[in-house]
Amino acid sequence: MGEAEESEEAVYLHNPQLSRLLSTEFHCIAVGHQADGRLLPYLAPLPPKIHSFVYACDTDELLEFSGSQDALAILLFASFGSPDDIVASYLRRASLAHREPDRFLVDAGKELAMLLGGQLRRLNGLLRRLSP
Amino acid sequence: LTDGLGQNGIGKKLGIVVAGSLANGVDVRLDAGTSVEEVKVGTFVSIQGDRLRFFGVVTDVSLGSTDSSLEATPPDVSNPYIAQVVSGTTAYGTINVEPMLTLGDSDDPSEVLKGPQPAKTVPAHFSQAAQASERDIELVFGTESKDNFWIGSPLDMETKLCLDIPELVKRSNGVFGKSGTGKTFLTRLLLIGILQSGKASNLVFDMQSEYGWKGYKEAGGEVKGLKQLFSSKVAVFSLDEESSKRRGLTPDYVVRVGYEEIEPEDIQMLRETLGLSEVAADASYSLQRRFGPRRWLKEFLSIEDRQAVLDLAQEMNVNEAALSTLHNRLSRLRRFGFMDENSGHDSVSQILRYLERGMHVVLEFGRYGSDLAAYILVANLLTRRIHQRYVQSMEKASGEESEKPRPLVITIEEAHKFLTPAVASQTIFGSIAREMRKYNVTLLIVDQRPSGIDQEVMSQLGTKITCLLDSERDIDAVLAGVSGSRKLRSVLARLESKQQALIFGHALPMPVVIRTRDYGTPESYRLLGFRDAVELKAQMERDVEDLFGSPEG
Repeated sequence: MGEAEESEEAVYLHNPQLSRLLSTEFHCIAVGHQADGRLLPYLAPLPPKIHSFVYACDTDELLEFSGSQDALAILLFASFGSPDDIVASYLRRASLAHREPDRFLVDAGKELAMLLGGQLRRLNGLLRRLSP
Repeated sequence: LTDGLGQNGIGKKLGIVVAGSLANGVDVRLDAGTSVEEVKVGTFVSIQGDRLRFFGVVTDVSLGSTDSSLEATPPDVSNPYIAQVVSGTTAYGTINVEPMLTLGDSDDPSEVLKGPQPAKTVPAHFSQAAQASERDIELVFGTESKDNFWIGSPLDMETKLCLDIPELVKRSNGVFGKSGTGKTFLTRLLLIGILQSGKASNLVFDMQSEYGWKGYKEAGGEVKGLKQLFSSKVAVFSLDEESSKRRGLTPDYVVRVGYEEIEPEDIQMLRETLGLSEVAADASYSLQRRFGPRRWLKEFLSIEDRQAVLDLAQEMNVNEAALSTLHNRLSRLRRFGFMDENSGHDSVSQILRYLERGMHVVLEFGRYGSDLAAYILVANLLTRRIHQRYVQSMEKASGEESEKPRPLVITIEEAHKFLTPAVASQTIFGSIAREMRKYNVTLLIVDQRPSGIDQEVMSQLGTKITCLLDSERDIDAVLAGVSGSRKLRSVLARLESKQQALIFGHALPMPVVIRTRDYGTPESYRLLGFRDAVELKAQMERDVEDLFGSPEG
């Protein structure tokens, strides 16, 4: 199906059922919440309600939230997926929101080094992923 | 404030206290921003505790890591990012600081008045440690003044570090260090400090003739001696007039020693240098009994014939070989040009006369400086008699409430020859060192082999100034009986070989490593208060102008 099509769009255009049959699902790890107008880097007392809408954070929110590295521990010690890749990709993305991305990555790296004291191998791998 | 100083005169922050004890010093973990290489052993550090401010010195620098596998699998430091992250976190530096002094709460005036006190506790966890600032140094060591002599600066700082001269001269002191480390320069500075304070008189037995008129730098070139800088306060005596004149100096007095002045005790001192056995040296007492106290040496040496010496031995019932050796070795004294058969010399009174006038006396040995026997003989002989006079005047002063003589500091070099354990208990230098300031006479010992000096004497020294020493035994000898000596060892063994010294003892509140102040440049002479002829003339012209108005006006 769709072998003869010339572009990805054409596949979906000629097989409209596909968009109903296939869906992308992603998992979230809650790392913080907003209360009284402030972003707090730890879990809210209650989980989000079912059917809540999910949005990506905008740059300002990302900047504010990544101003503190307290949430890193929640990510690092998450029990599913590949936490290190998640941390690396989160930090690289957050660094772009900061005026001095390199400085931000160094500070974040030092926080990781503290959190991963005694896990040098893991720290090494993580830092390699973060290295500019 | 500049130079990396923060507010309130606090120096550059180094890190926080993470562990420690009073016995072993406190461990300070360096901040990520401070490289271990910036902190040197011997650096002066201040730690702000909850209530007290601590002052201490760095006694050790070490590398730590949070991960024991770091050694086996080091992080990829070729990647600059990883290197930057890991340093100060996973891999960090720690320094060990020995707390020496505390200063009370600065809000409490009574605490501040008391000044720095010896540390009896350690700063609390996470207290901040910083490099000491200029103000800290002044708080602890005082500011430069007549009694507070600027001797050098702490490591890596330009601040003037001062020695309390009145406190210094109360006891005997020592300057140690292997040869070529700057003992002579330090001693010269100490002598100037004493001279400028006016708290004591100096008598220097100047073996190499380098204090009086001029000395030499190791790198070549001359430096001015005391006489050139302070001509009105210093008298140079000489044992070797020719040598003094050759070097451009007319000595104030030429010292001669009569045979009658030498006593058997002086021969005891020379035992090692002349290679005399105990029996041979003791024979001098028999000779004294036989010929009389003032004539024995002259009579003994006038015997030319070997057989006559042997006969004398039989007659006196002493060992023939011993007496013959004694005769042989003592004949060497006749070769000393300063020895004089005629009696009536009174070098001691001359020296005392100058000292009483508040002058400082340097005795140059000239060519005899290379002969240890001459040095020991003259230094011992003169000191014994000067000391006797001081004892008399002190006893008189205490009896009649008259004025005590001004304290006297006698400088001797190669001190281990005078103060070996074998002779220290019998010689005058040993007793001066032990009885301390009772009779207002103290010693300034200059030596390169402190391990050769009697332990009891070493323990009585008030302030010790030591340049680099590398023999274990010498280091042990210098640090014996000092609290925290284990820590000071590492500091002492790592001094630079030039212009650096560790000072500790009575004249300053805590041990400190200094870079000795410069000596030998025109600027250094000026800072010591010396005005050369051109400057004096200009000053005089200014004074005349002030008095009478300018010629044009």
